[in-house]
Amino acid sequence: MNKMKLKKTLKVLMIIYTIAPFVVWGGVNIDLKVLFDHSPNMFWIHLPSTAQIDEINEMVIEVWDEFERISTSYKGQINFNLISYNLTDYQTISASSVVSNIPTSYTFAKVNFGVERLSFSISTQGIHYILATNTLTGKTFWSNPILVDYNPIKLIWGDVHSHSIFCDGGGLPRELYNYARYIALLDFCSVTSHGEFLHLNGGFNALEQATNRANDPGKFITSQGVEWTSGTAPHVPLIGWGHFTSIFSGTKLAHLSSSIQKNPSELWSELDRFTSEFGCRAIALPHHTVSEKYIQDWPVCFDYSQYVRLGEVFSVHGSSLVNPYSEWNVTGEIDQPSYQIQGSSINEALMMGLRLGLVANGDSHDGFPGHSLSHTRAFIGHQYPPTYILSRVSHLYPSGLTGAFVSDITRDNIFDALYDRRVLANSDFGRPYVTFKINDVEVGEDDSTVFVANSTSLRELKLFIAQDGTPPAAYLQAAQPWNGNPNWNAKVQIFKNGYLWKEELINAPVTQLFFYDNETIVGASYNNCIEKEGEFYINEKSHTPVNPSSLNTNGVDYYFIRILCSRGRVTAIGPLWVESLT
Amino acid sequence: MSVKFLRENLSWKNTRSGILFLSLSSIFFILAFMFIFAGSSNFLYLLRIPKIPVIVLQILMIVMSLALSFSLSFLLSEWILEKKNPFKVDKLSVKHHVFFSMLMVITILDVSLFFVNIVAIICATLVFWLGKTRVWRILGFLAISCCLVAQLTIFLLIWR
Repeated sequence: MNKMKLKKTLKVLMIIYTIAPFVVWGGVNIDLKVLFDHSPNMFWIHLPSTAQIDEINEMVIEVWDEFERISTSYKGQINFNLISYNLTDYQTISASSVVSNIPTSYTFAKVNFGVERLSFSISTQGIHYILATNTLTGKTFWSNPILVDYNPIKLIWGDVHSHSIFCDGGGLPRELYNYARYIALLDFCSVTSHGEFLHLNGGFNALEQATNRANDPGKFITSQGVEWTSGTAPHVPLIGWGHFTSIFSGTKLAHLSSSIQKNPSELWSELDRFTSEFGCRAIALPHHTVSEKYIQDWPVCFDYSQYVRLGEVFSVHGSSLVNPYSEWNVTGEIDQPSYQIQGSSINEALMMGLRLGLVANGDSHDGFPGHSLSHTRAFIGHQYPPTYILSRVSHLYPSGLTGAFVSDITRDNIFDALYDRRVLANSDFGRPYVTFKINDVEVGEDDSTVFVANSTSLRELKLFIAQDGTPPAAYLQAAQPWNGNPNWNAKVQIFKNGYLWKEELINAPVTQLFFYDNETIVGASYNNCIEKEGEFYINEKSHTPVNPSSLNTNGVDYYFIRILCSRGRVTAIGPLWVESLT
Repeated sequence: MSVKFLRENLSWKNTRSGILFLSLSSIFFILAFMFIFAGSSNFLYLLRIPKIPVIVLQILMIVMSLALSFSLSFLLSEWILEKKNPFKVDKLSVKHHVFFSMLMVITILDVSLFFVNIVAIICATLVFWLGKTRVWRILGFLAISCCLVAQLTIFLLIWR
């Protein structure tokens, strides 16, 4: 009898033991709200950032659910309205003085599948916002700003860092490009799978072909790209020099992998060989530089300014702009070290003398370049496209976007803008219009360098900001509609030589700010080297010895801008370097 | 001789069975190949084996995935078409041992994956409950423990 009882108990225990993994799996992978609730939550009104006077353009209205996915169930009328600001004193222009051709209303039907494209044109010079009012709820949604004037330079937006199922991400490259073009509404994109996986799975050629097929000059540009991933691949030493996403100007994709090029010198040699053989150019982009697992070993970049021209300041990993332990850290980063590791951020790299423009990308692994969803609850396993590796679980920040100033939407033009650093960075899907000039030299112009007569010459810093009116997304926070008008309160910060120099609060959608500086130009230097076995390193994680006296900007000052908007959206532009001629 | 043999066997019933076998085994083959290839490439990416060249790993991945998925798809299709329940036997044959070995390999390879690791849990459960011999039951128990540890690690350490 006892034996029978024991057997029965054992069987029950066995059943419980068998069911347990299924229960935990269900808890981890199933979210019923994400599965079944697609009810409309907000509109995303997207306009091109720039337009010529009278130019016919397309505005796109997307209906989003509370996880920023397209909601196809909205049926209702939207009324449109235009708010305009002039370009002289940035005050509103009365509606009667604005000449435009925008639709007055539109009724969504189920056949729209949550997305509608409508033509519009504006004939009055200025910064304009289109407002869409949902007649069912009475809520009004603002678009991003559009600059209408005679300037032929366009501000276009893209994401040149994303991962497909060819590595540890989700979705096929062509699916990613389709999403980037038609849902995230990007102008340029690059799927940059990890080379180590592509090498292991033989995926280089398939990625190259998909990228070339998706390229559509004038409308949507795709760039060849691949990520070289040191320290985390199976066939290389454990040494981590950092990760470099390489973007190429041509139609060929280099076979970069840390299982082929075992260290940065081999990577640079391969880039030399590849660019010379195929007559193209390359950019190697350091990213998530402050994450403990991937701390960037900046000295390996010192002699390769022809490749290392940009730093990724925002992505799904958070922000690498300033050190997470510095007093200016507001965004944070996933996998932040438990103690301060000096010399890891992009700001500190600038102090060491590197010249990096500021860009933001997705580094998305969920198959959604340009508008990742992994910061929302929709990162869950059952989301399409599937990922078979846990990579998207830890991506708690929205993906960033890079704005590029170009004359035409072509591969060459976009590569030139990235190479020349004519760019700005935004921490989510938002598209603000921001320009930064010193003595009328704009970011990206003349190698982003301003020459002044002497070290105390007056420098006029001019900043123009048109904030995005769309509700922002941030750390673990999906975009939610504003209560009433957007909150325009923002903090504008100017960093000079690695330190916060000036700060100003703004509370209007369109603002122009001036700052003046005549302090002596002294440049910046990095002074936190450590000594290991008789040699100096930038920090304890670095593998490359340095000469501490060479870690400086050579007497050149630099400035960059960070704009902290409400609800966690952050925009960065710069740097501009100021050099004295005497 | 061979023509005569073919003629004799060429009936509508045989052709239909052949087509059905081919279709079923192809489906099983693709699914099994996907799961084994994904699991092995993930493991080979995670493991640090700097001395082994990539080409060796590629050969290993492909040969293993092909061999295992081919055997598995063949066995499953045969059992389905013959309407045999592989778990309702008195004594395990060589085929059964091969089958359970496949399930164990899939469990181990796929346990670290995201979402599709449900396949690993199902395979482990099959081995544990239908293993017949003591050795397979113990291995099944270990496989379930492995799944549970992996799931709990994901839930407690990585989950948000």
